[in-house]
Amino acid sequence: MASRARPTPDFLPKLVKAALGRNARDCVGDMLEIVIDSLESSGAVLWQATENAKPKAAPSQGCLFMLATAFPGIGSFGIHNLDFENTIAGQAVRTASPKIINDIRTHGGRHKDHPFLIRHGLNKTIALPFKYKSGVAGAVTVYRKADSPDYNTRDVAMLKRIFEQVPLLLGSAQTRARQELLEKAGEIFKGLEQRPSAQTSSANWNKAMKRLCDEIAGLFHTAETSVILRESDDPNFEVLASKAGVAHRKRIRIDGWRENPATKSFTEACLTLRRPIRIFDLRQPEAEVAELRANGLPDFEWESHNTLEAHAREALGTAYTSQPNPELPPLSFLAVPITAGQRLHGVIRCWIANPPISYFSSEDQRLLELVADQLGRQCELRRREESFSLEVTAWRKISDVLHSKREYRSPLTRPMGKTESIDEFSVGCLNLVEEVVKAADLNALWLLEPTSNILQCVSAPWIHDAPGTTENAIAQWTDYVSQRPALDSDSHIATVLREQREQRLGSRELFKLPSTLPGARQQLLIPLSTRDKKMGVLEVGSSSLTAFPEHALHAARLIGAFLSHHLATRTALSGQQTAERALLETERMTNDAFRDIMHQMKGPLVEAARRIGRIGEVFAKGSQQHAATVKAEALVRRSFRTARRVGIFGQLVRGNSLSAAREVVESSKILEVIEDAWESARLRAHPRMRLRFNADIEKIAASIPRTSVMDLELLMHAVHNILDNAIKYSYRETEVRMDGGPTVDGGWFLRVWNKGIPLRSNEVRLARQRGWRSAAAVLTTGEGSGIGLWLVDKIMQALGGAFELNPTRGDGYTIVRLQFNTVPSIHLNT
Amino acid sequence: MKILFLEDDPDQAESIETALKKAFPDEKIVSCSTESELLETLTTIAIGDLYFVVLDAMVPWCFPSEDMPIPPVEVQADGIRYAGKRCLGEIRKKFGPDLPVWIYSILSTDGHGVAPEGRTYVLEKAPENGDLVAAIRQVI
Repeated sequence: MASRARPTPDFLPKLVKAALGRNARDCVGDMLEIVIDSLESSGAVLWQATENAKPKAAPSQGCLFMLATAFPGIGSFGIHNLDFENTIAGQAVRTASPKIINDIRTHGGRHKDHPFLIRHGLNKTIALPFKYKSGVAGAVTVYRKADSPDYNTRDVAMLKRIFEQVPLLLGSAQTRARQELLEKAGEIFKGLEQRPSAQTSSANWNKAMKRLCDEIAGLFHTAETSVILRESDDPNFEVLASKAGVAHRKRIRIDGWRENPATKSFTEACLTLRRPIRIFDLRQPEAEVAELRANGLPDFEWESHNTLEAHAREALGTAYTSQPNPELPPLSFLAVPITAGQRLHGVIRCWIANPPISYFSSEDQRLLELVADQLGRQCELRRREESFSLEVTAWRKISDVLHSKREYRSPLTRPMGKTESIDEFSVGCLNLVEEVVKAADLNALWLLEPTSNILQCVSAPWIHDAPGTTENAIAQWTDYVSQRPALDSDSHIATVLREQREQRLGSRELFKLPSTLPGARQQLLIPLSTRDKKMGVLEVGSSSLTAFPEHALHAARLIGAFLSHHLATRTALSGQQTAERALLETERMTNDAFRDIMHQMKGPLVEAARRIGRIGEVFAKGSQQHAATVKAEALVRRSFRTARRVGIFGQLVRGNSLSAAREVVESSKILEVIEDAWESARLRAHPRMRLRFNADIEKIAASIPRTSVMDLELLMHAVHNILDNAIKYSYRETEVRMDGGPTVDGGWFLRVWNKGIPLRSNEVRLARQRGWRSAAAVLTTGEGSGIGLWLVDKIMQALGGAFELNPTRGDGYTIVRLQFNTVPSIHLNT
Repeated sequence: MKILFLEDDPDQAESIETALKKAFPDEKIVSCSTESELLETLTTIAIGDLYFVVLDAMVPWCFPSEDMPIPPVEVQADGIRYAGKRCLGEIRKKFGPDLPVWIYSILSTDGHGVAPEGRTYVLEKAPENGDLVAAIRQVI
């Protein structure tokens, strides 16, 4: 083994200078040349760096800052730049690199300019961190094998020498290289703006363009597989694409993003990143895939949209890297989901070849995220506008249908095209609604959904307007299925119905099921229900590869709401009609029965009343018990009243007027209450008072309008109280009188006269107050607590009438008057 | 001899009178309905001519009339509540403590203010007045 001198560190500054002053590619080549030479002279202690060494290979840019060499008997030497995490300095370092980089990142900041030791197993690496700007940029390392001599001070000294040079090299080279490229780009575009005039010869023009395009192509260092983005608003790219002789390059037209203001940033990002960029529009995956296929998408670009979406959703909001297919050429993707909130619109992705030699920097990621953020905002704005427009249009048309009852012929149309307008889409929705409505009447339907993304709206046979059970729904489904060719999905749907219908129908939320319908990738079940009633399920199948598009969900909700309303209305109308029929039938039957009863029973009733009266008279005469007498008298009075009522009824029935009969029933009940109160007052009067009672019942009966109805219990309390007062405070052997009559405004009044303890004018107001009793009243009766007249006042207010209490007149009579106006229906109590 | 009773409720008065007549057919029943009526009646009964007295605790001073007697101060102050107690006092004044008097009321002692003492008895009203007759028979 030839012995070679250990290389002096002096060559390194020269090498650095060379790197900075020359093409970066050549610089790295020189470095590797040194490494290769050193490795070839294995075993040599020293090696010589030759500045004239020629590169044997064209290393990639990623190796620009890599320097590796062998220290025979010691190990290897490397420079690790943290900004270039994928940089690996040869096979020997490769295995240890992740740990070294991690340790440099973790501990480098604490050691500043001092070397620190990194252990990996029995091996050791001595590292000297270096900084760029304010942070740790990397470290110079010397790797020592376990069986090699330990590091010595000389090694450390050499490392320090190297370290003095690397910040300049590592820190500025990247920026410098990029700056160079950007300057070139600027010159190119400046050249385009000052492109040759029409007078310029064609040869010169072509020559100039060729040069420019070559420069542009140079921006994309992997020119063979680059994708040139065509942006219609950017003439530069258009010109370049068409005239630069790069027609063979793949061009992707990106529809939908064209109007996006973010495209300017997008263009800038392309230039800055110097990476091929693709944008995946997940809103229209079918169109996207077709477009990609038509343009001959490179194999490595092909990725299942489902996979793409899954990855994007998984990394929602953050950048992620991927290597989609290990069998494809070495590629690395850097992707950022285009999002708005939690809604995923698409993915922006760039890629590089030959990782890990090529790399993505944090600046790349930041730029890509910036573009994705701008695109996401634009997408969200567009989606909202579209959704709002759709809602307005659809509801307007649905409203037209409901109000004008226009006939929409349902063509069961073709699937809506991709470019169909919102109006056409809305019409399609209405067609669907119309079909569903018609089909709901039949409890079964088969629909083709005419919207763009919902291919089939398949059978909602379990729509039934009566609140049914799951078993009924299954039965209907079975009947329906038996009339058409069987589908694999049938049994599944039935099973799902059994399991989920009862628990999900109550909600208003849409819910999804795995795809079971033919031609559909997903199913969307739309519960049809009102607040408290479950009416069925509308099922919609979608051919979408991914999720239901937002406007499809929106349409489904519209249809669900419309159908729910329709079914609820139909059910309510049905119930109302049934109720009306029942009412009419009841009235008819009541009328007939009433007439029959009156005709048949009039005679017997009158006769029964007479007999009861006679019995009562006999009973009264024969009984020694006063209570029995009272009871008999009451029976007599009641029987005569009954007879009188029967007579009245008979007259009305002869007139064949059911309504009149009803009125009389009500008015007669009022009269009955008054009579009961009157009789009750008579019985309660003290015999020693020897009061005389005089009631003009016939006049009162005539004055009560037939249409008068009121709360009889309240009426009873009112009449009872004024009569009670009249009895209690009347003088001995005086008359208590009750009469009534009509009022000028269609009402009627009841009046009670008595002559007794006078009510003075200053006591009128007090008498309406609760608990007030006159001094004379306190002495003359043990009953009462002063609430009677107050109660009457309140009752009359409730009945919509008036209570008049007048001072005792000159002739000694105190008159209490109850006036009843037209009684509101709310007081109906019968 | 005479039996005096005070009751304002006509139904109850009739019932009590019937029961007393049945139990003491040989005695004359004198009934009053108001306090003023009873006081006036007392002036017409001679001492030694009264067998026993049954008093309701709460009766009105008088019936309404155009010439109602003017009530004494205590009546104006206490109202009808202690009518029985006042009547008892007047009876004791004239007929002494040996005359049996029953306060026959639905009220308790707290209600009418009369406690059983000596020949003064308190009895709660009962249906058909059976207890009243039995209680009187135990004493007389």
